[in-house]
Amino acid sequence: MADADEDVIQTPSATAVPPPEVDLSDETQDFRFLNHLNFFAESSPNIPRRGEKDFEPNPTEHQADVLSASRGAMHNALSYPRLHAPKTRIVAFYAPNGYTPPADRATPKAGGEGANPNPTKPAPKPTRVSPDACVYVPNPKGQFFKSMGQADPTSRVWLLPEEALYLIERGSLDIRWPSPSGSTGSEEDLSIPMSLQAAYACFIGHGGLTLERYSVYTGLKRLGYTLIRAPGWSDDIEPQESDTPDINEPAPRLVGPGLAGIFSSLFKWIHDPYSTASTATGPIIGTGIHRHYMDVYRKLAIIPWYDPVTAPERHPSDTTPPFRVVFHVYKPSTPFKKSAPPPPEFRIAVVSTRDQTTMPTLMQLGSLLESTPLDPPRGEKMDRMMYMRLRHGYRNVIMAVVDQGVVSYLRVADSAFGKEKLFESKAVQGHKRNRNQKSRKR
Amino acid sequence: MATVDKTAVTHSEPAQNGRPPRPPRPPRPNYRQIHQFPLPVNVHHVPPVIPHNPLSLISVALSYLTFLISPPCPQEVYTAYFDKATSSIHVTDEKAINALWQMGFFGKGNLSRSEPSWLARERKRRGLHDGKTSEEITRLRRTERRELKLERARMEKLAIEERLKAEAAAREAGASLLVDQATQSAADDTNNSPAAVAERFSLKKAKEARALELRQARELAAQTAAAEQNQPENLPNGKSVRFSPVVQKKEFVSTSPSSLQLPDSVVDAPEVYDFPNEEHLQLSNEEAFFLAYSLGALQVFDGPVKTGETQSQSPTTIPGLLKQFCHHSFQPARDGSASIQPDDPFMISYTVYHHFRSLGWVIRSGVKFGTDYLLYNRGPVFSHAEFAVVVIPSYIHPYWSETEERKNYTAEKQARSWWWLHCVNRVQAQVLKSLVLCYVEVPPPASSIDDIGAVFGQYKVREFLVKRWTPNRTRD
Amino acid sequence: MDFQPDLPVPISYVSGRYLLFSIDVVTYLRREHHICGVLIGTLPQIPQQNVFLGLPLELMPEEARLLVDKGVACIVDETKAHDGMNTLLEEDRRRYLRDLESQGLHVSRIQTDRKERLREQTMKKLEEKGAKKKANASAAAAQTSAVPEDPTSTPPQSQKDASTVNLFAADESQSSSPAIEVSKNTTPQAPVAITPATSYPPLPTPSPSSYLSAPTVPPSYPLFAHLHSKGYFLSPGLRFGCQYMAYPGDPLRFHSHFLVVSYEWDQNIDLMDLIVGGRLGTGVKKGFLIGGAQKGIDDVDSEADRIDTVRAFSLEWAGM
Repeated sequence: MADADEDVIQTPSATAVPPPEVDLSDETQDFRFLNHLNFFAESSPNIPRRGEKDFEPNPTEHQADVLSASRGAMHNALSYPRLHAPKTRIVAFYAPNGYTPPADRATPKAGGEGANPNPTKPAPKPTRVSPDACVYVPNPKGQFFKSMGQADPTSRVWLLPEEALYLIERGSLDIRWPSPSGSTGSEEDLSIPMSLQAAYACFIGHGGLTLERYSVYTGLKRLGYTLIRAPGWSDDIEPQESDTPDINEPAPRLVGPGLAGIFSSLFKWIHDPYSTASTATGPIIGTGIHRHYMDVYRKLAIIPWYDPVTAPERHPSDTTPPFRVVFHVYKPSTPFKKSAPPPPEFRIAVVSTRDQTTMPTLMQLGSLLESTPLDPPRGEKMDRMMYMRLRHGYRNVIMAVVDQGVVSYLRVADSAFGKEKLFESKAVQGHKRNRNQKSRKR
Repeated sequence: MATVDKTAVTHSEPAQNGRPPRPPRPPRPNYRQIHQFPLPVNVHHVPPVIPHNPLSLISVALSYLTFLISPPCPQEVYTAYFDKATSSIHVTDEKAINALWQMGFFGKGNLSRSEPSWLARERKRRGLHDGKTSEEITRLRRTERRELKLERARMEKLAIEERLKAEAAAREAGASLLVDQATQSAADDTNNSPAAVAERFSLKKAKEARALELRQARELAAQTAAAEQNQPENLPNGKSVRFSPVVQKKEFVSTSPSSLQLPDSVVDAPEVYDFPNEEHLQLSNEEAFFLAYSLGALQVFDGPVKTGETQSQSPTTIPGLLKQFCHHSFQPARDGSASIQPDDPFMISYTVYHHFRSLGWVIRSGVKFGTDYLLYNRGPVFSHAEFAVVVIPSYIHPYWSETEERKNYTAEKQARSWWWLHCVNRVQAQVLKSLVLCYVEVPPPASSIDDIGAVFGQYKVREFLVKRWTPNRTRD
Repeated sequence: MDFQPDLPVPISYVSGRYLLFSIDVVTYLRREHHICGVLIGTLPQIPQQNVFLGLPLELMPEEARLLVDKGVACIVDETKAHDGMNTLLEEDRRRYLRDLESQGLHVSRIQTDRKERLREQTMKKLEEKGAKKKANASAAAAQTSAVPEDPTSTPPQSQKDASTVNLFAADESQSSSPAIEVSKNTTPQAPVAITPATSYPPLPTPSPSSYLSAPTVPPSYPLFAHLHSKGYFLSPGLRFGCQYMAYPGDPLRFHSHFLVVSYEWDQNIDLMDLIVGGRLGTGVKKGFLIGGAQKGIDDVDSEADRIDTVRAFSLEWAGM
């Protein structure tokens, strides 16, 4: 009955305690609670608590009224305009053809020019601007550019499509269409502001940015995370020979009988003179006399298992998109320097359920994990707690599975149960292990 | 059980104050004693050799000598038979049932949810015992919940009718203005107190529901408390498990922990019962194959064996058993002439079963949570299963992609939908288990299956732990 | 409120996905056609959370298909349509910019008025407060003068003030006090720049000849359309462990009743799938619903005919 009792866990009446995971973004929220976020109303924008819903429609007018109030509130909240006050406005320009080095770049004058306006500050490093960048900010100011964009030699900051789209969507950037060719005189006057719709039309699909990748990017940015593109961003990345010396070499991953096998035969010889052990038709452990359960278990180990520690690391090019890391992610609390990003705290692969309708195969999932660095369970707590070690695993990655705008994140870890010999732990023993334990036993 | 326990704990005080005191709990059976052996295998401890202590050498020599002179009883081999109708193994011998359950938690009672407890329940039912079994409590709880739900639905309907009446009356009286105003002001209020507004109706309903729920919870708690016969004493994860009093009464009468003496309590129990035990132990095919092939602790016959008749029929050979199980891992079963394929469901499920058993886990079916297996540390009486395992075949070997036909075949075999993964994962989260995806690399067809160990040595297991990641929680 | 757009309403096709940018269209489709989609954009007024999201609205191909088949919507290749930006006539540009400027001025005026009013209110309240403190009139006066610099002295008002200002500040790193000064300085009104939600205008309404064909839909479409025709509101369900969530009414006001999974008519169903689905549904007090069309697409003339042959079954986990 023991395990039968587990059924009770989830019966509704038993959940007097709140369910383990209540994620407000899971369900459609009643926008009436955002009513005060109507532009024409006046109040402070606090995120409201969730409200109550009815079980099913009924013909009361009351219900109809509440529903219509909810819809009205939603309409108002979504109508809120994106405004740029003159003093705080950041203007950017859309450059469909990406970064082009300034015409006078050939001359070493650039350095001299840089010295003119700001002699104490050295000219910005000529960092390589990504070919995918398509929006530039002539006069970058504010915190956003600490973690976004790349400066060109003239101190303009170039934004990747996801960065530009994120900023325009949150109302923090005023992107202008390029001025019509020819009208050089009144340039500022005739550059039309880009609409949100135009930004989606121009940036989604540009430079490898899918709507799903953008959903992940913006969803985590909204929570304060910092995201940068991972080396696996582009589907046709080139394999780096130097990094992958032994990809094709079948690594010594078979662990199963190997060493343990030798030991067990040794033990057999010492301890089990009557051995009749046979893996051919059994019994594997033999019919003789066993000295110890540990020996029994060692003999039982005939199934090979994958050892993540001895497995070679893979280059991202050796993975199958979409099961490839495309974002490196940092917690909001992590100090982040654009020029020298620290090792990522999370690695995320993005999958669209409409393009990839099935779960990854072992090949796909395995190589995805092997493209991440070894991250074995270490630390005082891990040493003590076996379950925690297994849950943490030796490598890990986050799969963002995007279903039509709804993102669900799964953390996948190489847990390597084979590395935890449960039968060696005292708990399973049931039988004394050595003299020390014997004496400890009551 | 975890949540129920919490409820019980939360309400323990009012229960103590307002209700008659709990009946004293019968002592918890000593599971450590009952289940001290992890496998039904004879183990004879040999005194350790301590090089600088000549006495230890003598003691070792002595013990060897003892074995030579009077060899200890050999490995006990239990008897079972294969039942084609259910495609499972039946164990009917009382002693074997106890041994297989107590040493390694093999099988389940066919009339119980886990440990065979039908006899105990039946005796209680016939008034030979008081107290309730967990099955009875569950039934009671379910009936009660159904009644409460019906009551709630009735109340809701009543409320809607009343509102409709009121609205109609208001219209007739020409006072619709008033209603409108009320709604209007209610909607306007949202700014100030969002939660308390415009939902008086549903709030009232919810209050009723909550009151019901509370009452229900309290009743359940009281019930659970009363039924809680064995509170965990020193188990950190606080699993409380109810076992039949038969087991609880068992006293493990063994002086030497190394010897394998089973408490055949049922036979020796002081109570006299006058009806036969209708229940048998049902082993899964994986469990049976493990007991027979790996441990040599089980013989499987083709049909029920009467006591004393054992000699007339010979048990199925191990290769024969493997074949039978492979054929029966299809629905309907394949006919006997079919050859074993490397991806027969039994080959894959056994690989996984053996892998986790050999690491020391107690591995049992996870069907009730929609997974292939559950992993217990030590056993279900000690703690809840922490891990739920789903098995997915994998065809990495080049053989499987040699032809277009094989490619299509394996693609279909490996395909699992995203919704299924999320569904399984959600269910495991509901019951507080960690989901393990266990991929099994399937080798190409073997030329012969004469050496079963060599065949299984061609498979390879890789586990992935999957957990929902909530970005809100890892921000810190 | 009950805005009636010209039909068919354009659905933006961007990089293989179906999006809506007009709030009027979004509200209309929800109200009249029970199509909810999923909001995926950041709300500019509260950009730091994921609980309430804003435009654009992403439609499932199923939703887009349903609307196109009904003649309510059409599909427009938005990337191509925006090529029209380069060929915009100069006079159109000027007119559009003038419109935006006048809107910006209007907004700017609203903001200034609001700030004025707020300031007056604050002063008034402080004066009242001060009047009450007759015992120490001088102290009250000092406090009043201190207000603009020290917003913490009167928490409720100053908080409101600061947040109102921040709503319009592009850079949230700015503290409230400089922002207040900014607002003071801009009293001679400069127009506020606006990022519009849609590009129509200045772009001309796309011509019917440019409409794309109806979206291709997954095999689960017949079940989707069947449930929709029965009055259910449907949304993507993967996060909850199914294909669609079915709501008895607008999800704004109702919890879902069913977790929906579609099967082919002849498909073998793994019993374990039913167990786990049933358990999931019962665990969250919902039904687990499976279904599919009896006839294949080859047996009938159109998708619409298949929808009539759909059967659905609901499962409940009954314990053990």
